[in-house]
Amino acid sequence: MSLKDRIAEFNAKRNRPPEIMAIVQRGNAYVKDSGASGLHIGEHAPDFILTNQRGEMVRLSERLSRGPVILNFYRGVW
Amino acid sequence: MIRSLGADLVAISPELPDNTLTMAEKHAIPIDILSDATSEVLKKYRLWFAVPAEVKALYLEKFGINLEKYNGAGRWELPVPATYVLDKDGIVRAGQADPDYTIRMEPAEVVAAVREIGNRR
Repeated sequence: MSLKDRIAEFNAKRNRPPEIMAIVQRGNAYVKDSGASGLHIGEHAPDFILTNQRGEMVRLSERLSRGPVILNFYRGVW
Repeated sequence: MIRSLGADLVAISPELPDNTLTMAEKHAIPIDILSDATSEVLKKYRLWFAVPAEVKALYLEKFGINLEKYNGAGRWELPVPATYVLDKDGIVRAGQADPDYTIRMEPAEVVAAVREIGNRR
């Protein structure tokens, strides 16, 4: 099953009331209008150093020296 | 799957480092989970936004989620959920970003993009 189908199933089960969905959708539209649209295909991804779950410093360019990297930006564990 | 294709998976969130996991649990996680505690990287990647007041109220009052508990005091801010496949030169070869967190890049597309990069080497 594709991720899309699994999310659709989850959404159907969750069945949020329309007044709540309206707030969520207005929020999404606001963010879209704010210009937070991310990187473009073909663009060079900015380098960075951040701390991982074990407190180690991770540098993107160091990881790239080993091979391709998949970056996933997520909102949180909640 | 990703590893066997020679790629690394790196996850980034604005959350402060998780103190609920033991060191053994942290070592058992096979990917890097990075903490962008100042949102500097989210901003560099043009994914940062301040949660709108109406959505903040919804999270607090209806969902019982207080982002400050995870992100730190005063940080009602999030990334647009996004996935990028970078080649070895750091160029974005595939990706997706959408404020609607129910719209995500298909894992099959991620794998296909990594394969495509591999084939070009």
